[in-house]
Amino acid sequence: MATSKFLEIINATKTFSGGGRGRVEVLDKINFEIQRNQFVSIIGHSGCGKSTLLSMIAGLETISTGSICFKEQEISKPGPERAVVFQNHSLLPWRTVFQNVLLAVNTVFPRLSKTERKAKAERWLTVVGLKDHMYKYPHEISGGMKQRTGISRALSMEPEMLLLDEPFGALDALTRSTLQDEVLRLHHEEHLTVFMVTHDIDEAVYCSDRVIMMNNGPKATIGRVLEVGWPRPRERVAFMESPEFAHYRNECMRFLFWRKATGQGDQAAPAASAPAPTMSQPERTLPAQLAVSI
Amino acid sequence: MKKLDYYLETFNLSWFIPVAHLLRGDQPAYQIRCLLRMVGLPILGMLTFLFVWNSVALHAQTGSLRLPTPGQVWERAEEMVVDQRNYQRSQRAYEASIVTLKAENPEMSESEIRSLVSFEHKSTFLSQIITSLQTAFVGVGIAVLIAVPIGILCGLSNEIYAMTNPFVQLFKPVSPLAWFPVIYILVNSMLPGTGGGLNGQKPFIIAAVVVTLCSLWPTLINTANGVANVERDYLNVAKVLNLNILQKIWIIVLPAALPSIFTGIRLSLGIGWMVLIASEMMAVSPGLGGFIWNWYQSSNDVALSYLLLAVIVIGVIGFILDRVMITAQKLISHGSTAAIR
Repeated sequence: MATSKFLEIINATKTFSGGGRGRVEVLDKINFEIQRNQFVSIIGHSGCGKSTLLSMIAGLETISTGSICFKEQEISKPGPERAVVFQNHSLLPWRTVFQNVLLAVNTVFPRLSKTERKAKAERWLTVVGLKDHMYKYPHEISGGMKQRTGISRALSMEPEMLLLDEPFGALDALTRSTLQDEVLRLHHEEHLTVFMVTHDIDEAVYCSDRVIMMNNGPKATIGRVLEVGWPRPRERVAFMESPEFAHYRNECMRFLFWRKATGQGDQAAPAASAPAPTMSQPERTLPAQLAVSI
Repeated sequence: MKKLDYYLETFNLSWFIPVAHLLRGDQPAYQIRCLLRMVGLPILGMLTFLFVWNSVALHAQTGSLRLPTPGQVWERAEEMVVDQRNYQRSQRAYEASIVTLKAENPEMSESEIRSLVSFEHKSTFLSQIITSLQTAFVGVGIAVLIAVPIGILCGLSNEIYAMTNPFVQLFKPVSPLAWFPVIYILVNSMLPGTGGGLNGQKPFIIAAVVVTLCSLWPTLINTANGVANVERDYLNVAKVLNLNILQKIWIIVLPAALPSIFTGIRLSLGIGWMVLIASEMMAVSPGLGGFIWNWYQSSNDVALSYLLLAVIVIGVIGFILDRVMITAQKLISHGSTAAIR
């Protein structure tokens, strides 16, 4: 894993002004870094501004103060190197699955020939397993397939970074786990850097190298950062049944729910009462590197 | 079978669905009940109406005039068909005579022959209907060409919307009868003289412009609404793909707003058709409005039955136009409505 500065968020704040409610300070002094090829998730209660943060990284929302740098360059607008997969897939209903992906290819690679562009779109649809359904319209395919199309549209832009905004929230549990594994596979095979917004603790822990937990808004800040040191590629059952997984999971739960019950900041959170992960299985050489820090 | 159902429904033939099922023999009792409800009841309503009309016409006397019965109006319709056939026959005969005359007098040009042997072109009921339809389509067509671009601008920019809205609110409720004198004077002053070129088309132009002015608004308002309410998700797609403003309109906004643009056009066509008759009457155009005006002016005893015939024909055409537009709307909004379903 290279440790070059890939994505850097420095003192970023977001304030929405105007509207009926006057000024709303959503995010306050957010600082973190994502290294190349990392998978980072951000988790928090609804309305804590995690999706706003993703939009800011995508360039869809402006940054009020502070800055977000992508490969040492300040982000000011959206770009194909940071592709977004939206929560509700946002496929254009009047275009087929293929045409939806082709639109992205056409705008990102205008210099390629028509056949090359078509081949590219087809390749990315094949990667997500939609080759047989590519001439269907979005309303003719299932929710999971729609989200696959969304992912393949994002991938077809050949981004360096994939931004996932609660990508599997609307899917049933089985489809969700299949797609999680698929995204992990793509993350591994295509050497992607992934930033994912979610409110599913299991999903965050299972997929990520690092889970960022947000305090509640307004003026939301980062509450806790949890490093998940399970080796990749990850095997779902083995990881999820391990005591380490339970420990990571508990850490998140304790943060999110204690935080909600008392409405206080993280600093006052009680010490972890659950026992630290037992390293009772010696065949797993990698210890759970648990770094709770901010 | 499902596919057939879908096409029948799209083309407003949903009453035919039970017939199709019946022919295949599935659930005959249920299909017959469906059929009775979908076809039987409207026919029953129609028959009741005709019965009431007939008895009122037979028993209620109003001064010197009698209300024509449905039968009498039907006779007028048949008369129109015969009239049309005769006219076409005489027209064919005239063309044939021109051809023979030309063969007999090779030294004369065709226009010379035509000027010697005259043929009285008259407007038949059918040609009047066609003129009316043309006027309506031209009027509404111009309205759509003006309203859609303005509507898109209004939908995209709150500032333009704020600038345009007062005009829309001000002119929307204006009756065609109020517009008519203004347009009449303007067109007359712009096209002075009579006969020849565009001048011969004056009543047509006046009627079409009045239609345009009255049918602009529904398309404009619906387009603006449709564009302003394009889902944020789709606009985010445009942003992520870095589309420029024209690409954004063409690829995202226009297709997304198309269903509501079509709703607007449908309303415009409805209003246009209604306004058309009034403006044609005043412009004494060779259309259905002109037909009504002529019969209204005549002191003929049977005038009333002709006028009622015109009313019914206008209603039927309006109904067909609306159905055609609904079908078009269903066809273009295929994806999005199906998503709702």
